[in-house]
Amino acid sequence: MITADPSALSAELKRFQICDGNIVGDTSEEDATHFAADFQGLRHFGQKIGAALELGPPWMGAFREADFTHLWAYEGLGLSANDPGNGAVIARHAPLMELLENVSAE
Amino acid sequence: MAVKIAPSLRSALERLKHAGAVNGVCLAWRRQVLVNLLPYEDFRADKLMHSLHDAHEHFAGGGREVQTFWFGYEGVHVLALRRGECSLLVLHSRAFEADFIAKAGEVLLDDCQLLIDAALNPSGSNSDSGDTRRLNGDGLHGDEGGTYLVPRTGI
Repeated sequence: MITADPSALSAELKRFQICDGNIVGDTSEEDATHFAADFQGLRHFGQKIGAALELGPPWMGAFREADFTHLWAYEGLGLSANDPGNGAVIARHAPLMELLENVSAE
Repeated sequence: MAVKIAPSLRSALERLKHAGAVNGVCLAWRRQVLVNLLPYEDFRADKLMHSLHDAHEHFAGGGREVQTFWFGYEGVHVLALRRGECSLLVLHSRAFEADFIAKAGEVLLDDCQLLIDAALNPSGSNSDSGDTRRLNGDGLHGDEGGTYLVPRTGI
């Protein structure tokens, strides 16, 4: 059986931590600012989509372009903007599940 | 006796349910829902597709062309794919199936372009319109060099 190797993408990832409503990144402040903007936008629309189906707020969100993938996920049961979570971006069209495994493994 | 089954968007979307633990499918063009196979009322599908369209527009405003959105909720995931102005939204249970469902959905969107066009332009199948003309009478000597449809009975 072939399984996804969570370490395969690790070298290319830019990682971020969501903590008390702040975004802390391992790279530059500019990267953290960009991630924060995408995180806020994605979370907002995730809430709207969840509200349409009475699903509540999302615990995970991702979007993918031709050459960029962004994903974040909350660590525990908390789903508010101040709850802890992790995120990552990669400058390519990456498999969603592999990225989620990487982010969740932190 | 063989039964001829007409292809349709609905049957194409039904097949997508074999891609995994799929709980519902919805196809839209811009903000207009074409087929709702979600376990929800139509007004909720409309609201959902409006929100999805808004999300695409939000990112497009910054010059971003998002092809896939994926959200996790308690008990279900929402996967939304985009091809041109068509959006395909899939509710699915198991996270590890997201990439295969996305692949299958992208293929479906590519393969169903003609069906989607037919759904959007039901009069488009009328051969008397546009550049396609039905061959009849002295139609062989058409004056505009258009494309002619030759009836099977006339071959």
